[in-house]
Amino acid sequence: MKKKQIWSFLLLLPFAIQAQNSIPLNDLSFWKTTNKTNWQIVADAQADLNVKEILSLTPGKGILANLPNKENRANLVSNQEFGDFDLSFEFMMASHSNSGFYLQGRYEMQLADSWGVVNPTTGDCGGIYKRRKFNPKEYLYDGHAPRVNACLAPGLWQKMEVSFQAPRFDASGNKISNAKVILAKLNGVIIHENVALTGPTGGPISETEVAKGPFMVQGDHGAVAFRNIAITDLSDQPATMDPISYQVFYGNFPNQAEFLSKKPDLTGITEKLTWDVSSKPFHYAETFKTFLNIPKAGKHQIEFEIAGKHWIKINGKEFFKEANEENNRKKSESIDLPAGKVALEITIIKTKKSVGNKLGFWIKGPNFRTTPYQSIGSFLGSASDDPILLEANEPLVFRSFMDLFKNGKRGKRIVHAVNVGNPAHLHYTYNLDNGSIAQIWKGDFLNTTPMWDNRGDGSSRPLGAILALQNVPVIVSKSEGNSANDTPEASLNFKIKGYDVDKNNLPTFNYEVAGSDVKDLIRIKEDKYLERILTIKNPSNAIKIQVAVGTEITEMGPEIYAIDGKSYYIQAKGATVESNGLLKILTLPASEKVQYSILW
Amino acid sequence: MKKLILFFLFTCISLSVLAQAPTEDDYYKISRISYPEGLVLEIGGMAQLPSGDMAISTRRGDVYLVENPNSARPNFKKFASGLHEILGLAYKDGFLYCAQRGELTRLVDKDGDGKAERYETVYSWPISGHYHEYSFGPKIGPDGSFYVTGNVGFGSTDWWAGKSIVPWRGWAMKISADGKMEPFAAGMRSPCGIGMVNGEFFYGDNQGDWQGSGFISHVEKGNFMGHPASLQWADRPESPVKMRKDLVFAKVDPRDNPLVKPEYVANEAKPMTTIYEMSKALPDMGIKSPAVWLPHGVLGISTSEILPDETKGGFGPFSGQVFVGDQGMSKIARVFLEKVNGKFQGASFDFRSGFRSGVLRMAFSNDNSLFVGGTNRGWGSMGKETFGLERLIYTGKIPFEMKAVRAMPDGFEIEFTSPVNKTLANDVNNYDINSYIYKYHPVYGSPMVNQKENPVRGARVSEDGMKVRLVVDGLREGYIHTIQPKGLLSADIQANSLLHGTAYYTLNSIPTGEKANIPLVIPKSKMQREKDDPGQKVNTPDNQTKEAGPKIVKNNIISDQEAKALLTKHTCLACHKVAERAVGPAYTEVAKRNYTNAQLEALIIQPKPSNWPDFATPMAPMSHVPKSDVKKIAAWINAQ
Repeated sequence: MKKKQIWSFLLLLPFAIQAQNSIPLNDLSFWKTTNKTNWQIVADAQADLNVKEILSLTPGKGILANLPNKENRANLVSNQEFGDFDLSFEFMMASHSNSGFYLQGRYEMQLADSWGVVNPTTGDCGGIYKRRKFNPKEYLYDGHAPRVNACLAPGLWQKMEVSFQAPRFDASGNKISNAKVILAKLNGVIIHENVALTGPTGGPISETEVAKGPFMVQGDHGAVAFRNIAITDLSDQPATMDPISYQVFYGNFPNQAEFLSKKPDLTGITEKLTWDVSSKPFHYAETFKTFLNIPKAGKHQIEFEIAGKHWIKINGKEFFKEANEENNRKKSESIDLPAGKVALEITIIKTKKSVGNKLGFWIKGPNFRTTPYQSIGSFLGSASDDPILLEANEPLVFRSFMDLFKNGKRGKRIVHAVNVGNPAHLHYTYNLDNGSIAQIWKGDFLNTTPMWDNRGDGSSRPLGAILALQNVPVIVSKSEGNSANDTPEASLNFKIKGYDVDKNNLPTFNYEVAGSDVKDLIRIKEDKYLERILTIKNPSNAIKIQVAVGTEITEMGPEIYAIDGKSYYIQAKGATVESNGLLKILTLPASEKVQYSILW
Repeated sequence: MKKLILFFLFTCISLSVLAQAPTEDDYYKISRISYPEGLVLEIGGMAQLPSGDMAISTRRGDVYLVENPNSARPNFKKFASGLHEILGLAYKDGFLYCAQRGELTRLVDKDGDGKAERYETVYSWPISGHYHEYSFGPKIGPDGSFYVTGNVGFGSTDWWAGKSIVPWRGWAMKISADGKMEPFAAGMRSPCGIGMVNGEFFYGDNQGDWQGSGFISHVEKGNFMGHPASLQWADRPESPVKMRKDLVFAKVDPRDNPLVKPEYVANEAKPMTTIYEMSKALPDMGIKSPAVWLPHGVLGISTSEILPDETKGGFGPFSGQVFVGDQGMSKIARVFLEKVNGKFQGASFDFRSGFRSGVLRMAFSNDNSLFVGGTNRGWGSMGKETFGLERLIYTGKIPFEMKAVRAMPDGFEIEFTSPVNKTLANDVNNYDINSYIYKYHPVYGSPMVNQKENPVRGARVSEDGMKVRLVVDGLREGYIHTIQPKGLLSADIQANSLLHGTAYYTLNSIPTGEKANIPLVIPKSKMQREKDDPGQKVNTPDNQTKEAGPKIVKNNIISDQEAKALLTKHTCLACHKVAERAVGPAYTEVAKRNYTNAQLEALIIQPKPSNWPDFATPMAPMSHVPKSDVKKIAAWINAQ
């Protein structure tokens, strides 16, 4: 037992050194031991959409699962304590289940099966739970609902990412600033930004706030599973900057040589960097000399945005040079810095009146967040254009170019795309070039700024968590059903006819393929999922329906299939899983009426 | 005789001072159309419906029916929505049709509730998804088919080079009612302006690479209009276009280097050519040079709608002529077309400026007012608003204008809208004619090249004072002839100058036939004529900029009045304003760059658009502006 503990301690050691760390899920060693059995390490978990609170578990390693019962419903608390950090994990909810991830054991990010909730509250998935007071009698307050509901169906893997800043205390232990959720994303969608947490939320390990605290995962409410838990410890004090000695020279200088030998017009010491030591807005040169105090050796990201020609020296060596006064966009360069004092020297020449003044300088360290070193007035930031957003408060059918993103990378641009928005906050893109549902998203509808601001590029962007589907034709020939190709087979003579909208502005797409008229009706059901009904007039014997394409298709139960490692479900009667090389294809036979649902 | 003229002049000067010089607004009034607050009406299409409603379409994808459109408070009814940046709208046999970015769509109100329920794809064309791939139309041909046109895209590193990335970009497509597409003509770059004139398909293009200036052209099946990118697809079996890229590049170095933007070179290794010369050199290739050029910076910088006046006089004295909108200059030009030796040519004139945004679309309403809608959508325009919906209303007064200019075997015939003072009209010294052309090359735009004076050797006014026949030396086919009857006044008591003093005649073909029987004279030299140019002394819109005022000269910098005159003359003010951003930067912003006068002079002659990355439209080289004027202008700009 003792040996094991030492071993796990060794395993944990890298935390102090490396930037990002995955929590091992081969055992429960990251967590304090409990005498309950509800938390287990397993190989797989599976939910049943129709059975509440249950996950079926497969023995093995790699997944942390909670299956509480009356006797066993312990919370899980980490051994290690954290201050500032970035946290990410994947999770799976059982139907109607509920859990929570407590940051520092005190601030709860709510985890819940909120599938289909149209207007999420603090108690829904991604909510920051409310605080609780007992005086004069119990009441709840100060929770933060997620901006949108990006929660997926039970049994699907979902992703949470949180950047957290611990509360700060003075020397005598008085809190001087609140804990903060700097950023939280659920399934890739921003749900919180810069939310100050005035105190612990309901059910903390302690009502007393601290600089460092453990993670706690709620185990007493419902079945939940986790994988890929990763933490970046950002608790180090950021690098500091010594007082800065500056020199100002007035004149229209073409280069450094023109003023460096001269006597400066102004000299002095400033606590923070600012271009404003010059009393003129242009026709000046400035030098700033100081030392950075680097807490820990390692890769540092230096960011800067400076108006004018500029030169940056670090430890006496030229680190960056900008000779074009007009090129004053933000720049970012990575550099290895030793611990301790590091000399920094910035030289600026500004000759042009037309370029606005600014001097911004930031450092991001291996264990501290991006930190500014200028006065607020020195860098006001440029006002961005107002975004043009399209809300679907009623069903909307909206055409644009649509770029498909896969794993964060921009892929194909759909040029004949129809985006269909729904007040249920569940939307999709239909590709008129092949009759596919190319993507589904939940959240808000469209950012049309790229299309409508200025000249525009004709494209809009989905605002929400996106499920990229395969963007392949749904009707293919039996013989050649080639699932990887997004272009309809030439022999099928695919021809788009457009769409009809009903009284509620919900579209049915019309096209011709393989000699049949096809009506493609897609509807949002129960605010949760897409039901698709294809009406095919006199379907040819040579065609079949390609319902889903993926690397992995698993039959989860009667008429339900999980696609690509439980990223979404297809519900279909009489479907067949076919193989085509590395790909799996879920097919249905063609008939006058083909019906299936996409659950996500 | 001379005394008489002088006396006459004095009379008219005093009169015009009393009565104020006429302006465009005296004859054609711009009236804003009221619309519900909050609508973003970046108009891309307009069509009058038989009911009298005006259908308009917007960049944001909506189609509105403007009911009772000629009233002070029209009713806006949303007919369709969610369409992809519609840039054209037409009505045919009960249905509205529109060009979206990627298809021609029929909008059908199935249940009669005033809203479209069916968005029917008539034809879906290839498109790569490049931002510049706009699609325009449809216009409806006499056989009921639809004409649509498509912009080229641009390269990714060579963002300046027009590219036809997928088939039929840079082409006109003819689409039958049942959705069969026939590639119709190639060589287009930015064909926003299309129109049917007496059943013939016309198109206009914007200045850019391979297009020295805006123009309108008659388009027939198989034609090549000049921009070679579209020829990428010319050898496809369905293409009716015979022209090929290598035939272009044999004459003009395409300077196709993705890393080096072609800039203007005054004297290239190969002799310069023009699109007209190309059509002559390759007579069987369907090359069509412009029917009528719209000189860049004068009559426009970005040609839009082409609309014939079919009001039979209801919209003024220009029935049968063609109006051409312009986005960047927020104005409308007027074109008189005639067919000489089987080809269209004719004259372009200024018509009406001062619209609130870029003029993109025009349509006549049933009260003969002209609906004008548009947007500048990020390109900038002289009208500062991002969009506009206005009406242009004819007041019933006849402006004193050159109604038409016709080519004659030995000169021109000018027709006026009202009688001209015969004494002045018979004097050859009251006319200035010169000619020039634009280069055909891969550079963005072109300066005016091969400029030449065309002496007027004879002038004879008709009995009724409505026409004057000119005999002109040195006429050149394939050239623009700038005709300025500077000294003419109307015969009536007002003795007005021409409301617009210049005609730009594109002489594609000199007609054969009888020469004028006028005794030829030698006109005074241009310098002498300018010295005693009576028009100069008259207060007219054209002359207002030259109007005498206190000439304040400090540090050898010309006065603002003088500057304004020069900037107008050399078309600088087409794109620049003194203190405001327009198509190009404000002069005050240019001054902030602290260029020396010499640097600025060089930049006027050979601009570097890369210095102004925030501006969409690159400035064309101003190498045709006399050096002495460039000096004055540069010094004045730097003093702002």
